[in-house]
Amino acid sequence: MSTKEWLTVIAAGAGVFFMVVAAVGLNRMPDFYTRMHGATKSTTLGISFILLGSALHFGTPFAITKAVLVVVFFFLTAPVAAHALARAAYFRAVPTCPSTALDELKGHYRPETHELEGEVKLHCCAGTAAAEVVSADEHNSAPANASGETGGAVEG
Amino acid sequence: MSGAMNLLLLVLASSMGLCFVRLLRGPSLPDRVVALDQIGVHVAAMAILYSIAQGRVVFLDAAVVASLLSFLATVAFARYLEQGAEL
Repeated sequence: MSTKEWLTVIAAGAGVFFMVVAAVGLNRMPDFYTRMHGATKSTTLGISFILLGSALHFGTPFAITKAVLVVVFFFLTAPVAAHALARAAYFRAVPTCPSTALDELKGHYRPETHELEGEVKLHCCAGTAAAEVVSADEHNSAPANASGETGGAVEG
Repeated sequence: MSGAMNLLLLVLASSMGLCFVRLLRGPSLPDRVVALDQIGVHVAAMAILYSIAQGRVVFLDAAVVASLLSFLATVAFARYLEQGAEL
């Protein structure tokens, strides 16, 4: 086999390796969110490597353009799909695994409008305090939104 | 070249079997949706490997269509879950 063919096989093999990592992570991770995290990221990398292999193999401008298009498409759509799914699962209170230390979004989603209220201040260190809400009027001087409906949007 | 690609296709098929395991035993509906999404991506990757093995560019179009369909299915399922389907 020539050098180009070896490079093709190596790139496609790396891609297949990452796809297998995604499938193993889908089975081994403890809860839904970590499963989705593992699966989405590594399949994006895996399919990029496989398409690199196909671009190396064909080498024509047509095939390379098509491979680049598919890679761009995956980089755009995979995070969107994962985010939509994680958001839906969070609203429906899909449980996290028991060793989860901190849920900074807890109680900050309005259950009827599905909107985030105010601005969630993120804490870098887990276990110090729960996230606190900067109230909406303090943030953008709109006092109509200030009535606190901090009812339990999501019972985590 | 074709032999190596056939071997990689075999590995990818067993990885797809692992995704089927999660699809069957996933405790909640979002787990099953993630498994379905992964199966769609595996189908796209298989189409690309098959196009390399056969030496024909045409099969890359199948990969485009498979990835598009799996993305649309995932977003539609997420919408359906957010509107309050049974978990």
